[in-house]
Amino acid sequence: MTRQAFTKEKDHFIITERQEVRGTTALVLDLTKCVGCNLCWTVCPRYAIERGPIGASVRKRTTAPPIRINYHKCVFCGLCAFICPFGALELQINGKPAEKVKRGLSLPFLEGPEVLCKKTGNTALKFFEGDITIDNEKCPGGCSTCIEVCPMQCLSLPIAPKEKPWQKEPKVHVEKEKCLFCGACLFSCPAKDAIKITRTKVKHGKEGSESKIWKNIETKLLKPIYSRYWFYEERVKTAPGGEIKSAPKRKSLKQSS
Amino acid sequence: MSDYERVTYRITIDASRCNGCNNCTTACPVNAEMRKKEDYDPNDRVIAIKNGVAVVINPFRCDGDGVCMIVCPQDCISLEFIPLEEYEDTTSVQP
Repeated sequence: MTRQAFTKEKDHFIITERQEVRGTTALVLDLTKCVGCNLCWTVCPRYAIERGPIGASVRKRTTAPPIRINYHKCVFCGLCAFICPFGALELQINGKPAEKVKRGLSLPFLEGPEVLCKKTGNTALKFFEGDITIDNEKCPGGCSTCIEVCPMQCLSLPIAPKEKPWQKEPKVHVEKEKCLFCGACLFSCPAKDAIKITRTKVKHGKEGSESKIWKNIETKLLKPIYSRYWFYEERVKTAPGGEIKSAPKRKSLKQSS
Repeated sequence: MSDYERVTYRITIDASRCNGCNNCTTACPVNAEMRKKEDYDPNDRVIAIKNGVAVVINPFRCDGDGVCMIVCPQDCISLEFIPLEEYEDTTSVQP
């Protein structure tokens, strides 16, 4: 028997609810804070999050959100709410913010400076260290979705000179000190292999950093991402629930008796 | 490429306003990637122009970039998610 879940919209919130015996659990997505960085997409253990038209929804040409939660697959573990640096997702039990997988026990506290996003006007946690490179030969040029999507506004196109405007160089410039390494530009880019992100370190506290859940998440986050197509192919190889080898073997009944 | 098993995005084209300018077919990144391949099949594209009007041929391939609707000069393309109630629940893990 499956438990029934459904979605509903309220102002700028999208709520996916599931009714259980003890009450209701809900995932609340705040559309004013969400940027479409797809960090929740990488972390999700059930592949329940689908990528939407990020570039178009940031420009407000569609009503479709940048991220949709597929409630057929979602198990309401709240890992997406834990990792979101913008605080756009929240897990609620009976209308109160709650945690199922608790920080300090099985998940560490994420540490880092709080930075102000100029795009949305909210604060964000910066807990990644890494590197970002843009391949200007593979960039199609002229679409500039990455510049409009970026929450920190650290990407910029060069301004054409007034005397010879046709001699503008199509190069996207990055300010690496500002960058959050969230990956919003990468997942909205229509070209293949144009943007590369390699994260080297995730800053976190000591408490609860030795659990298996966190090590699983950390390996997912620290994988270098070259394009979202590549990432999708990599994910297809491993079925949801992990590889077969990682499952613990059950002792056979004959040996135990 | 995106090889989803099901359609996730719904593209609707207002055929009365479309003037067949070919902007959406050239801007579509999935079409551009397919043109590089050797076994290029024109009937496998996402958007193509037939009889002077843009038509969605293969909605399974659509990746939801939303480039076509930004590019369109007549604003006649709209892109949306297909609501989840229309799917059958086959993939969920039953407790």
